[in-house]
Amino acid sequence: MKSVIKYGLDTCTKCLKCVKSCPTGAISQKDGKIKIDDEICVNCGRCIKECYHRGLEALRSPITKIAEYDYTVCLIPSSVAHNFTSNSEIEEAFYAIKELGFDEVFDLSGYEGALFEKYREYAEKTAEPVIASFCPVVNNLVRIKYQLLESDLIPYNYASEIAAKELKEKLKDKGNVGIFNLVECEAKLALARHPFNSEYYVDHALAIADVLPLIKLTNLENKRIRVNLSKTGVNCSNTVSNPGTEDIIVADGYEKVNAILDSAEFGLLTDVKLMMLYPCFNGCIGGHLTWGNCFLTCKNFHKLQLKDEVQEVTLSQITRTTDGDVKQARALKDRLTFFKKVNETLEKLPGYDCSACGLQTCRIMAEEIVAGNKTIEECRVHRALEVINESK
Amino acid sequence: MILTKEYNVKKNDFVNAGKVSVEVKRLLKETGISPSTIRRIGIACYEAEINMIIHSLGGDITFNVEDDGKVTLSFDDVGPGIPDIERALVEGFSTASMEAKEMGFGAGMGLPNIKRVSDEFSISSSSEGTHLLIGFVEQ
Repeated sequence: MKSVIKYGLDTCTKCLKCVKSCPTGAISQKDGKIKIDDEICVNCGRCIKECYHRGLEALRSPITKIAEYDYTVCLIPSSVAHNFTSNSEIEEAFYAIKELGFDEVFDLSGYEGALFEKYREYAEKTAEPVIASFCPVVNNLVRIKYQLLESDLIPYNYASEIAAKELKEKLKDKGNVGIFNLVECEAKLALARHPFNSEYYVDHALAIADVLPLIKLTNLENKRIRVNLSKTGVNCSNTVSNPGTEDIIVADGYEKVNAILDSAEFGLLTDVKLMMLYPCFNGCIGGHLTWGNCFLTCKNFHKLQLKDEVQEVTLSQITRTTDGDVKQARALKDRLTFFKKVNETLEKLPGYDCSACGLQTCRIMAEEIVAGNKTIEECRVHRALEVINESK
Repeated sequence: MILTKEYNVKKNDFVNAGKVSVEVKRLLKETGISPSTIRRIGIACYEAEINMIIHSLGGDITFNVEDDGKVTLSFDDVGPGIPDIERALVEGFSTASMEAKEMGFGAGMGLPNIKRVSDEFSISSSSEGTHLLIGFVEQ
């Protein structure tokens, strides 16, 4: 997956907070320049939150991209509904979003609910507990950090992709159709064709935090768009009203998600069938690019009139066809030799994991030294210790 | 030998239970050994580590990665030993304390599980201590 996160300022204070915050060690700093490794960045956005100087930002499409298409559709995830306190407000908001220049707005909650039902069906058939695959951060974390669970990821597509594919098929007579997706977080920004020219049906991802402030909810004179939100779908974007069941474990927050994945790797989750993991607080409504405060918006769920219905979907419709970039695996023998050299180099490094070299840990530094990209002299502590030893 | 590491485990140290296994698992992911093999190693290592904390007076865990990618783990404690190994290898048989059971450990699946997932398994025990050696090869 491509990283949507870029460093935008000319200077960097080298505080290294972003480097240290990365769950996969994808960020490094050299001479005040921040570099992000596309191969292992999971787009979790933790570095953006850590950057005190607001130097890191997520690349995203502006709403003006609408002008490039003959016909545009805006996909609206069910998390948006949490910003409103009644069904009529939601219907007015859908109208107001359409008024920004879209030809159509499309409610995703039916597909989100349908996916949840399919996850449950899938989980019933497997012996091991399985992981719901709606969150790109979790999917990529599993691929990069929790490889032992890769076969437990449910191989279904994202709700936005399933809907976008259907819509493109349905609207093929409308000329150049542009599908825009409103998203809650950095990771979902990456699930769009632009700006990376990736193979997605969604053309552009717009941040909810960018779009909702633009809509005009006054003087609507009762203009609305009928929306039948699916209760199951809306439930899936919020962990407060969806605390799990006897055999479904629901967790929010990055630390909890990691603890659960660690337990799963040790085979400790014996009573669990399905894991619904949300790295954001209170689920997708707590995404970094949402509008309302998730500790307040989670309560709005109870004020809405929702139906249990979900969209009818078939397995061929939801099964994922494209998989993320697959890393070229080296032969075991080469890997073992590399591993041995890294451990030997690690013995020579101070082991403070101070990141002063610009890399997150001494282990990553050792890997870079063995790979020939760095020298041990670039370790500041090692150099300082040498000077002290010489003067003794 | 690619790597040798030794860890110490203390009696009834439930607070740190699993830390050695997390470290072993993390290191193994760097080696290129297949995820399915690492998964078996992780399960066995965790069970054996917890066994040591619950039942023994403490001891050492030695973790080896050999040149051909074979992984061995040895668990050597200082007592009090397993009186009847045959029975301890029966699923559901448990002598864990109430304290351990309250924390969710000691379901009596430890040793049988370890034996099931490992490729090599040898155990000896006396009142001076228990020595468990397990080995894993790529399949």
